[in-house]
Amino acid sequence: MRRWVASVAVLALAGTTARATAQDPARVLERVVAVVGDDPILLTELRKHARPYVEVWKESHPEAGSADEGDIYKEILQLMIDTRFIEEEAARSGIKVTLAEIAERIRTTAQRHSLTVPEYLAAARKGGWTDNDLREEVRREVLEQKVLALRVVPRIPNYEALSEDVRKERMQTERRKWLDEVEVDTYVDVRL
Amino acid sequence: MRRALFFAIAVSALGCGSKTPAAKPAFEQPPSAAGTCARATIKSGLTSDSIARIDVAGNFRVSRETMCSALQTHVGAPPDEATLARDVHALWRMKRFDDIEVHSKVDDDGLVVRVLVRERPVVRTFTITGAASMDADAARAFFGKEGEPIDFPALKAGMKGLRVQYGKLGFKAAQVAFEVVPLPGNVVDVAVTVKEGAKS
Repeated sequence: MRRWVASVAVLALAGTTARATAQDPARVLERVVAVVGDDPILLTELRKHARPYVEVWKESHPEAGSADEGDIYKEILQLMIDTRFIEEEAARSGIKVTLAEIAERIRTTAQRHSLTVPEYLAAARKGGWTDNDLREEVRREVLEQKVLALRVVPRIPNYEALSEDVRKERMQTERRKWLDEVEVDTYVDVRL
Repeated sequence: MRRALFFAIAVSALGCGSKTPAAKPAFEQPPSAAGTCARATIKSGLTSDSIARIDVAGNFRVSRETMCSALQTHVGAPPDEATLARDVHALWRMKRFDDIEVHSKVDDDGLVVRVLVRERPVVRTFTITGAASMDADAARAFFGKEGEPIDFPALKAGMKGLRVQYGKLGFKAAQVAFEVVPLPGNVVDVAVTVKEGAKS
């Protein structure tokens, strides 16, 4: 899921979510776009999270309208909400991601694209990622994989015997179910 | 897509004693406490992208001074994204607001930053019905208090706490729902309903 978003890239949510009128040309600089438990997610946080994906998405969807962009922003926001629950579960379960694991994931990803690590990082920078943002995204990806291996894989009977396609499909379905169960006792308010 | 104030959640829970409070008058909404936090005194040094004035609006029960003291954004410099985000988080941590927006616009003073809040409604009455197997005060302790701003995360956490407590007592099939009824004056009544299941 995260990988899908990463490859598709994001929207450029209301770069100016301006709610302007003729009389009141006010521009929104900041606002709450979601609340998860006690914590708000802010517009600028969503934009920052989405930014690395925007250019790629715009390049690959030059014909897309603002409604499509809005949909992608909603999807990114849902991912941010999911991430909060995954981070909480990781903390509860003592799951961590080491710097070595992040480096290894970057190395294997670069290799998959027939690139050296410096070449891969350069390509990512060109795509709008800072090195820190990329490493943070990779950390989240590895963390999610670990949490899902612990909490979701055991819910799928005969996981190891399934074909790759079926595994992916079942993982996606069970991931959503598990997150919905985890979220049920938490206040979540999406305001996009 | 804002979630409605009316909220109902089924939760596994056990009973608690019911309580019907005496009728209470609606709280009066105090007058607006909106105002200006800061205004640049020397305008000649201001560039067009520098903040000339900072206003707060939408606050009634929270004073202008309280709001202004939470803000690190200041006049004389352009709006800074990271500082504004910190300001919003600082206001949010007060647990007095359920929405916060920061706008900018230009008027006769120059660039104005306006912090617009929506205050959380105050809980006028809090009732629990249908919970016969638990002391009412013990059940109420899981939730917020009357006379305080409503706290949805705490309400949901309270329901979970209640469910865990009921589970310990052997009630597996009980259900809990709560409803928030908005009233004039930015107050609400909160009603928690418990449907006790059989004790296993």
